[in-house]
Amino acid sequence: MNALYWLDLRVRVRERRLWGMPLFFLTMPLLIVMLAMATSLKGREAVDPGEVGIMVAMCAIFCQAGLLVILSPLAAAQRISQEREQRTYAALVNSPLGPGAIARGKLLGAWAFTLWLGVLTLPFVLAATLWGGMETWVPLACFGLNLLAGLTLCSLALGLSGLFGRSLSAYLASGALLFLWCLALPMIGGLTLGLLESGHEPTLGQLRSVFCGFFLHHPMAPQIWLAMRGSGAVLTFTDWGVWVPLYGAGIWLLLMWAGYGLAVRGLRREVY
Amino acid sequence: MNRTNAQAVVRLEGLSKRYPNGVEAVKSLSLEVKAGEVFGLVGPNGAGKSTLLKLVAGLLRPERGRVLMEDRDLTGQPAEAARWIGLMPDPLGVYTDISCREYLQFFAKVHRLEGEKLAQQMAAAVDMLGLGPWMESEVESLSAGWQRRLALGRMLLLDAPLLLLDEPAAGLDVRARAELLEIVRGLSGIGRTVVISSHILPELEELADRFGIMNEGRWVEVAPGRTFFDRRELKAGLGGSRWRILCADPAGARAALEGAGQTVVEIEGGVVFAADDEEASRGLEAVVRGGGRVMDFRRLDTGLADVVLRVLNGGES
Repeated sequence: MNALYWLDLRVRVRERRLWGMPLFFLTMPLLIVMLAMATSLKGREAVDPGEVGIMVAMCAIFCQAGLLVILSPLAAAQRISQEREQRTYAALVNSPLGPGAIARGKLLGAWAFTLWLGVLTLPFVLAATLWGGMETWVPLACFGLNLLAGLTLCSLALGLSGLFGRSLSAYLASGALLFLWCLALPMIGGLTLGLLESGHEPTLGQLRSVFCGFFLHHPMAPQIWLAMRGSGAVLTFTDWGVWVPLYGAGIWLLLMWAGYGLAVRGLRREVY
Repeated sequence: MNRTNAQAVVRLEGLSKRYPNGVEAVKSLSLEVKAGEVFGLVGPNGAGKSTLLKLVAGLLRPERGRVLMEDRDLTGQPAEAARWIGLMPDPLGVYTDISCREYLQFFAKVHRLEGEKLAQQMAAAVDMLGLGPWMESEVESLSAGWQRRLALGRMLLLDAPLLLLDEPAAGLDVRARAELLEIVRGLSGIGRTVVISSHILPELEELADRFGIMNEGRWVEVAPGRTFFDRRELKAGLGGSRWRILCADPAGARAALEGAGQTVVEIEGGVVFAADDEEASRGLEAVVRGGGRVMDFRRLDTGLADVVLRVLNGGES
C-alpha cells in the first residue's frame, strides 16, 4: 500500500468531524427525496408509482451529483499545498518516494473520500429504483457517472494544489475551476446558442459543436442525458446517441489524467 | 556499508545556486566531509547555509556543480539522495495528528523498511532518543524539543550515512538544547557523518570536528576545530587572550591595570583585559601590589562566536 495513502487513512479515520458528515449526507438527500415524493403525491387521487419513481430518482441522482461535485474538489484542494504550508514537504521530498508516488498517494486519499461520500448517498439512489418508472440500470449508471465526475474533480483539484504553497490559494483555484466548468462555460454556451439562433436555424453540426464545447463535458451532463433518456423525456440532445455520455466521460478521463500530471509537475518543483 | 575514516562520504564540487529572484545564495562552493566527521556550518543569516544543505539533499537543483556521495552523482535527485542523506530542515515540520509510533511507521513504510529490520531499527532509534514513553502520544502534544527528537528518529530509522541538521537547536530551551546536542554527539559516536548548521555557537564549538564559516554564499574559512581557535595570528587579531580578575575593588584593579598599560573593561565584581601570558602576569602583580583582594583570576577561552565575528569582519586572512 502507498505509504501516503496509509497515513491519510489513519488521519481521516481519526478525524471526528469526518464522522459527523454522514449525518449531513443522510439528512440532505432524505429531505430532498421526501419533498420530491410529497410534491408528486400532492392533490392526486390515483398515484402512478412510476411517475413518483422518476421524480425521486432524479432528485436522488442530482442531489448526489451536487454533493460530489462540490465537496470532492474541496477535499483534494489542500493535499499538497498543506504539506508545503506545514513544512512537512521537505521531509516528504527527502524520501525515496518520487513525485509520481507522492501524487498517487495523495490522489488515492482524495478518491477514498469521494468514494466514501458516494457510498453514503447510494442508498437513496437505490431506494429510488423501488418505485419503478425508470429501469434499474439508469440510476446505477448515473451513480457511476457521479463517482467518475467526483474523482475527476479530485484529480484536477489535486493538480492545482501542487502548484500552490498556500492552502487558501489552492482552495480559491479549485473554486475558480468549479465556477468555470459548472457555471461559466454553460452560460457562455447558452449565450452562443442564442446568438446562433437569432440569425437563422443552426445546423446540426453547429449545435453539436456548441454542445460539445460548452455543455456535454459538464460534470452533470452525462447524468442528465441518461436520466432524461431513462425517463422517456425527449430533448434536443437526448436522441443524439450513446456517444453523448461517452464523450462527457471521455473528457473527464482526460482531465483526470491532466490533473494527475499537473500534480506530478508541481511536486517536481524545488523546495525553497 | 564499507567505509573507512579516510574516505570522503560527500563531496561538493563547485556548487552554485541562484534563486528565481536573482539572489545568488551559493557561489561555487566545494567541500569534502569525511566518514564519521561532524562538520559545523556557521555564518550570519542569509549566508547560504540552508541553501547549501538543501542542495546537498537534492531539494534544490544547482546552476553549476555536483553533489557526489561516495562517488555517486546525486545532484538534484532528492529521491535517490534520500537513500544516503537524511535532512532535518529548518523550520521543522512534523505530522501532528498522528502518534509518534505512526510517524515513525510512516517513514519506515516510505523507505520500505519492514519485518525484523524495521523492529530492530525502530527499537534502536527509540532507545537512543528516549522516545519510549511518548510512542503512543500524539505528535501535537509533544514539546518542540521532543518533536525535534522525533524528526531525528525519522533519520535514524533510515541508516543514512550522512545527516544534515539545519538549526536543530533553534527554539529549544537550554536543557533541551544540551540533550539534543548530546544525541548528535551519540550519532557521531556510532559512525554517522553529521553536517550541522547552527547559531548556537558555544555548543557547536564543543561538537564539531571541523568548521566552515560562510558569508554571502562563499566559504570564508574552513578549518579543523581546535587549530581554528589556537592559531597565533587569530589570537593576535583578537588582541591576545582575554583575562578576567574578580576582586573586592574593581575600580582599584582597573586603575592598577591601566597604570600597567592595559586597556580594561570593568564588569560586575571585577575587570576584563586582553593580554599575552607575560603581560597578564604583570597585570595581576600590579593589582595585588595596589592592594586589590583578588578572588579569581582566569583566562577566558576564545569562543567560536569571537572567531566567527572576527573572520566575518575581515580581521583574519
